[in-house]
Amino acid sequence: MLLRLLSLPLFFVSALAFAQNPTPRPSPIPGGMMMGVVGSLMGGIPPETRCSPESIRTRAQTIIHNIEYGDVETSVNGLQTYMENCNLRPEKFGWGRGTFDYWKQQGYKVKLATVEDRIKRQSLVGKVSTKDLEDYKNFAALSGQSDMTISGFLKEQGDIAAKNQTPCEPKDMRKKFGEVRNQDGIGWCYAFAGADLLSYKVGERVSAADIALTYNDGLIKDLGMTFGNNEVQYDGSKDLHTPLIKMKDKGYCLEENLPSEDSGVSNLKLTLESVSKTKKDFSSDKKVCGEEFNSAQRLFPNLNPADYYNILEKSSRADFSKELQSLTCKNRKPFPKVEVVVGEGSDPKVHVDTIDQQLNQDVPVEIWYNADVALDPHFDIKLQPAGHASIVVGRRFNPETKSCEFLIRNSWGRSCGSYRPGITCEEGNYWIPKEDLMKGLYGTTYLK
Amino acid sequence: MVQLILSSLLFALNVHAAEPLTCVDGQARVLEFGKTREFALSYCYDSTRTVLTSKECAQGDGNRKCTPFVHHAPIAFNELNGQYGSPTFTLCRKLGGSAHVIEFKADKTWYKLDRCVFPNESFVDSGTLFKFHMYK
Repeated sequence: MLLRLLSLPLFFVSALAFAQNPTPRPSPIPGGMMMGVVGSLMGGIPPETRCSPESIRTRAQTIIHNIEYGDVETSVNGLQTYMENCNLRPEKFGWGRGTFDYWKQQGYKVKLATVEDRIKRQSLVGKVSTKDLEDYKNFAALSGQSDMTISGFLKEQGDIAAKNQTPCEPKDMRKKFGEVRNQDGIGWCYAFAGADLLSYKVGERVSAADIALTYNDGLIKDLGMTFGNNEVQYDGSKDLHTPLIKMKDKGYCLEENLPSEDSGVSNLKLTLESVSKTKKDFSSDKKVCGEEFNSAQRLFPNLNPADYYNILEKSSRADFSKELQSLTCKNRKPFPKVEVVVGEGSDPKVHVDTIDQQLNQDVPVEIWYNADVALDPHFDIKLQPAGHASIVVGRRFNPETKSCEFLIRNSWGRSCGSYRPGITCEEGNYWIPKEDLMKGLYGTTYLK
Repeated sequence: MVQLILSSLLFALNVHAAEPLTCVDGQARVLEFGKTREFALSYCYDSTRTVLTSKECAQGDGNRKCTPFVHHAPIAFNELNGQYGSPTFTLCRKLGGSAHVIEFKADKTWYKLDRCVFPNESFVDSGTLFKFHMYK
């Protein structure tokens, strides 16, 4: 711990010295990031269009588009070389002598702003990555900032980082949750995270599918019609407040009564669609056979044929799934006497502090975040706006990286193959440095 | 259940980073209709039981019959993001496979994982599939 407390201010001292003599900048934006945005535009140019003015304009458009995302130096240099090889002069395209440098400068400034923002966020948790500091110095110099400005920024952030170094007391609650769940291919991560929070509180495995069906109450009348036929169109929730508040009145259902991880040749989405289709077909021709009952029983295992056909006869299409859910979960248990607390604001630092405070009291916290922080080695939130829910169940200090890390219980099963290098995964739970999580953290929910 | 160990130390290449896989004619099970269905299946697994492949995929991309490890054009991370379910399942479908949760038996113990099955029946767990295609 002492080493860590000393290391950051010392690093900033060395960084300040380094800032006086910036070295040439290393390679710019990683290729994968560029490909993600404009992969199709940057693709190979067919031979017949080589050296055509159109191909030059296309590459220039791509560069101008990419300025918004940062450094374009490599692309600009590539275009210049390409034009020289084609014996084409910039004037032919209406570009002045300084156009290429102007594009590069604009890209440096965007990149600098991005890196500055990242350093500020990291300083708030007391740890700034070496690469970001080096990037800052290089891009600040390339953008024409004075040595004094560069030194001043680094000192300011160094002071903030030193002030924000907080204890990182170890905590590990994962064993209290049992095996990591697998949400399959359906976008109900919030329900799986909510089920985990509730399960922790009540000591029983709560059904995630029940939380999702309750949250979507009234919407699941015709899945194909309401959500479209694509799995990605299934509804998800941003935070846990609304889904859990809906559960408060109703009580919870156990996983054994309404399974969320049905497997075999089907999956949850296909099963829901099949159940929905049965009612739709029945409404039109009044015919039904054993297969439909089997399909419904896949999701609602406590059904017996008599009850099923009774609901099929008497329910409306809007209420069909809801009534099947009520029947299979007829032995609901009362929601625990807790308050559902949603973290306020959008400041990741506030959310991280909330997580720390709750972990200190052995309270797991649901996080709403961009899971690509744990997947993509070149993560950039501007390029990858997306949401996912998991819960934080632990914390540790990693002596190798000198980072305080959170333990995230995910809902993608036991497998660890999906996490990027630098993330330690154990049976579907993964460790991520606080400062990395902050890059994509939107909000928190916990039970008090 | 009688397990026939075909090859206890197949050294897998590339994706398994020389991790030895154990291949067996074993037992698998899935949850259907709230009940468990057990069936015979040939598969290979690693020491942590978090890698599961069909036999033809036990050596990474060295076997042409192993469809999961056929190389594809790069896929961006933002095409697989988490709001829409597990990105590993999304990738599986994108590559033409079908993913589902499965349990397999290893040394008399059941382990829950998932697998991405391709039309020719070759399969691999979705995490290993993701690692192969996204971090190569």
